Amino acid sequence: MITKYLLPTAAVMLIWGIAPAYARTVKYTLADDSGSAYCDGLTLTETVTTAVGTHTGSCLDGDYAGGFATKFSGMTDRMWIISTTDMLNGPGCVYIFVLDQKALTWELWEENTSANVTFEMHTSGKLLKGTPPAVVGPSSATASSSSHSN
Amino acid sequence: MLICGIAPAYAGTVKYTFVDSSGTSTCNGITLTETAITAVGRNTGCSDPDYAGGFPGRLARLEDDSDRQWVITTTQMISNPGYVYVFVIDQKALTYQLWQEDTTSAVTFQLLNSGKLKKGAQPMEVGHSGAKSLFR
Repeated sequence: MITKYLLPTAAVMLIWGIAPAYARTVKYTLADDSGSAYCDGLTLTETVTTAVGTHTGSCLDGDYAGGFATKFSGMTDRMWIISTTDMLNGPGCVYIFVLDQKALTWELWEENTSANVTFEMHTSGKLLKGTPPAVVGPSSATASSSSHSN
Repeated sequence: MLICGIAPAYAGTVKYTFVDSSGTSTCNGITLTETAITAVGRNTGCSDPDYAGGFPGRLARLEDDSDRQWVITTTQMISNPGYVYVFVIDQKALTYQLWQEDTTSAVTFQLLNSGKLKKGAQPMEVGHSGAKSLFR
């Protein structure tokens, strides 16, 4: 029965070049360059094109996060550009995470008009698989940085 | 610089007005100063003049993935605090998509609007009532 219906469907999808509906959920903790975890992370449900999820962690209030898979010029890995905010700790700030899920690295860029922060890189580090621990400590956004203004 | 693989210091400023899907100019625009790897600028026209910035890249399987797109993130702190807006701008095809998310309104990351780009700054000032705003 399964073969009777699924194989013709798969054949039609291949003939027409339709990508199969694909979605997976990834859970990451943001860590510094030495691997020490911050109190925040990202949980994202990714399709081929987009990701939708939340900025997680006990130090946050779980703002939505989402973005796109992108190939930057001159880079081999596909990156995810994920936008979010932190209404609890930094209202008005827009945070943009650039995730390399192959190399397990991230960059955090931010902009905040009221604090006169134009679009600039704040910090970077390693991605750890799994949700962030319930620890008291800095988040990726409140970690010290020369460009950080909060 | 090219031998060492360093991108040349290049910067250009672009100014666009957003046109809705029916071909009508909105009162919103954007001005960006672009280098090879980033763009930094502001919303213009009737938009709150919040900062906007982002990156160029080739997005996976959007409608036309042959062009390089700019992913530009911004907000509207006065009119829509808490909202994050993401423009996907195709400067070759002169098209855009506007995506949004807002936790307090239970709006997950989703497409809000799309249309064409018109070159040039949006001349209308804040409060002008002659054109609709792109933002919810």
